[in-house]
Amino acid sequence: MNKARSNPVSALAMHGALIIYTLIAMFPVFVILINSFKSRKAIFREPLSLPNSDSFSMIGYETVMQQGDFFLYFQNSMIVTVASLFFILLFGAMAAFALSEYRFKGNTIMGLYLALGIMIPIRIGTVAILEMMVATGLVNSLWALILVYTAQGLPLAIFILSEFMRQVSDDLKNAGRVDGLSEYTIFARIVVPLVRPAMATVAVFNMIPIWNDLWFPLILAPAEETKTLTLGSQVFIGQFVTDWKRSAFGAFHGHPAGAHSLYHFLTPTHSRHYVRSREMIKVLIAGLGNMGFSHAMAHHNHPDSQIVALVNRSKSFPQSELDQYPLYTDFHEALGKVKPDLVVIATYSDSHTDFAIAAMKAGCHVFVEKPLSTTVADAKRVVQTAIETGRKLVIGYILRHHPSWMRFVDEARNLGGPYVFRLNLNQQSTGSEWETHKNLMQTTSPIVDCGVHYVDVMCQITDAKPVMVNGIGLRLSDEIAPDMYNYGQLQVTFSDGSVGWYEAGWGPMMSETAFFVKDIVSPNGSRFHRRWQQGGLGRCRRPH
Amino acid sequence: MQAPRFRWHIVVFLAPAVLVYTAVMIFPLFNTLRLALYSEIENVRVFVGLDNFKSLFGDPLWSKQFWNALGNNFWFFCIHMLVQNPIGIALAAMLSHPRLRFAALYRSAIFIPTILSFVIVGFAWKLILSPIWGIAPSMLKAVGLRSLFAPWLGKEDYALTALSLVSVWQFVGIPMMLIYAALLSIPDEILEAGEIDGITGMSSFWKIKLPLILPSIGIISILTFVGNFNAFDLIYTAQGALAGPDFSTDILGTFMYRTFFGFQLQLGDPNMGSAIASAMFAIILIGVCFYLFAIQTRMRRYQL
Repeated sequence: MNKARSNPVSALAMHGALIIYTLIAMFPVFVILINSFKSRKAIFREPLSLPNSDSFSMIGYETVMQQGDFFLYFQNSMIVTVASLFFILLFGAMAAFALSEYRFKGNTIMGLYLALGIMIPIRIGTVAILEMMVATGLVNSLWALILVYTAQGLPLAIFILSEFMRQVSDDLKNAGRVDGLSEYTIFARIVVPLVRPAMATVAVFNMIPIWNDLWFPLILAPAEETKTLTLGSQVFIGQFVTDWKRSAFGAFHGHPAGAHSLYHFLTPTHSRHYVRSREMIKVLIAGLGNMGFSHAMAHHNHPDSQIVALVNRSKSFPQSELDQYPLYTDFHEALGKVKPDLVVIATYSDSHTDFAIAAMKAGCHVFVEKPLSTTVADAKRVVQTAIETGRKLVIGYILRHHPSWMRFVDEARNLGGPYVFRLNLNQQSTGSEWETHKNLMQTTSPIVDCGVHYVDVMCQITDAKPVMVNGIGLRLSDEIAPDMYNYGQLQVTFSDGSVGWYEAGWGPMMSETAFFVKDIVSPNGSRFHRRWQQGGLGRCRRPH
Repeated sequence: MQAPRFRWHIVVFLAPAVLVYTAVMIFPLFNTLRLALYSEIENVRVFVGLDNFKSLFGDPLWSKQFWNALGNNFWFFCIHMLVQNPIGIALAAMLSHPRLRFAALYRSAIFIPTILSFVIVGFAWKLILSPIWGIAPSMLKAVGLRSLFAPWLGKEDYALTALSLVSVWQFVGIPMMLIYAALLSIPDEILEAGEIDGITGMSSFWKIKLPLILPSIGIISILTFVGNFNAFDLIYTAQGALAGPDFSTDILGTFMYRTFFGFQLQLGDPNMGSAIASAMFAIILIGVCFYLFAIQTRMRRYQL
């Protein structure tokens, strides 16, 4: 009789369709699996090839073990998932029993009230949930997540379990009552064992969304010690695949969305105590020149930062709110005395290496202005120290951390190359600005001074190696050295065919119109960067 | 006659669930609606009535983003309805075929993406679709179709559709499983009765099975609707909170996240965030009510 339904041709067609869809479903999973065993270079060179003796590498797993505290993240996820499931099942079964077993006033209303949450996603109430968690001090604790997931899972659990409990025979329960069992014993000994399959269904339904959730860990518990595996890997992948995506502060504060997200919400209102109750980051600022001063002011104003000391060789720096902080003239003395968590190094380039290494050896994270060191060997030593001590090392390469540039690079990359890069930065300067420019030109010409940033932007976008560079320049003023030039332009050719142009000029003679071009063209369209405020992005170096 | 004893055990059974549910879900939900009526002026929270909604719908600074996110969200939902659910039903129909071999294998394989983390899904698809080091360009090149490749995640015109399809890829397992369960519960006698009347193969699906699983399809539609209108994770993992390129993949979830918490140079505004949440609440409520009153009550149910 089954003959009519089983026709070999249609069976073949079905298998064909199912195999094709199975391949579509499994292919990305396969890509992830093979690439997890390859070195980073091999991933980007040939993402589809199987790992061989050449490209096989456990570096991914090693980095995971070293960098992120993945055991802790895993443990957090386990605790949250298991505890939430436990409470969903326990409280859900109890409520379902009450609703299905007893007739009482308001039974139907209570059932409807509890069912409301099946259709309304809990995320809608996030703003108030965060306020509540802040007020009760539960923010950045696993309890916050457990409570939210329990509340989220209860409506469906109660709905399913009460359907099943209605099917449990009354005779069994009444027999128990005749034997003098309490209602609690009947629930625990008779009803729960009988609905165990339904409870398993509820557990499976809830487990995956809880384990995979990104929203609430990101909002309620982004701290390092409460990160779940999902949030931890999001931060980790964001950091290592697209490392320009993370701001310097995000790195220190462990908040993937950048530093200001939580505190902007929390500080202006009644929730200030939240900030105080959180551990402040103790900061030592070394060097109070132009950059150092502005770092110091940023930390002064940052609610999570507390400046513990300033270091400056001379005692002269602008009168300001910074006067309240202890000032040292010797870096090493300050480091030994105040025991900071974070050291910001904005001194002259020749001291960067020693200060950074000393700070990391003293257990501090380090933010150091560019250049990291004056020689490649020194730079390697600093990086090696960072790896050995496990400290975070961030270099003040501002375009890599500037939101608008991060977005610019990201969007350009998504278009695909080869690219035309058209970048310039001409600064018409007079008076004291021109004096500053002339001082800078005692060592560095305009295209070198700012050009490092823009060639770096080009490299970040293409991933290809520069293969040819041409440059020309012109001395437009007698006020600078005979072998210096205050206007220059350079052309770069990359191995993928991309071409780049960068132009920079300083001085009173520069034109006002050809001021700021940041333009990227690809076969798939273009992106440009609009200078949004005078003196902001447009300046590579602010005159002092 | 004695008044019946108050049954304390009912209270004990109900209290934990009702307390947690009320305190963590219902109360914050209404508190969020309330917060939408306030605004922060010089660090003091003041009542401003419907001003936040006025700016959300009318002030070009906000409304442009809001309508963009809402429009994108509808497109996101449309793709799920038009692609995910039909594919899910088709797969379930094939899998429920009584004499299909390896059914369990297919079923598990197709369900795997659904249990994957968004983080992995976002990363895997970026690895595949990247124009710079992606797999898709080189695979298309190998079969001579390189010209068909476009940077789907990088162009405003395609990015949202591409991500919607990634989301379809991830979640097709859910309608598949629900429909599969519904199809299995159709008694053989009905299908055999149909066979006797000459209804076999495809026509037995269209004429017998489909009408019987319509209620399940209704439930899937409303689940898709609710799920899509509070989606966030995939867009965030693949394109970041700015939902690039140029906000072309911005949906209500990412818009609310940016508004509430602030992102990069944008300051966080919990009251405006609440206003967006309230708008999402209203949209979901309208959708659910439409389903409950306009669709579910009219759907014909068959006693099996």
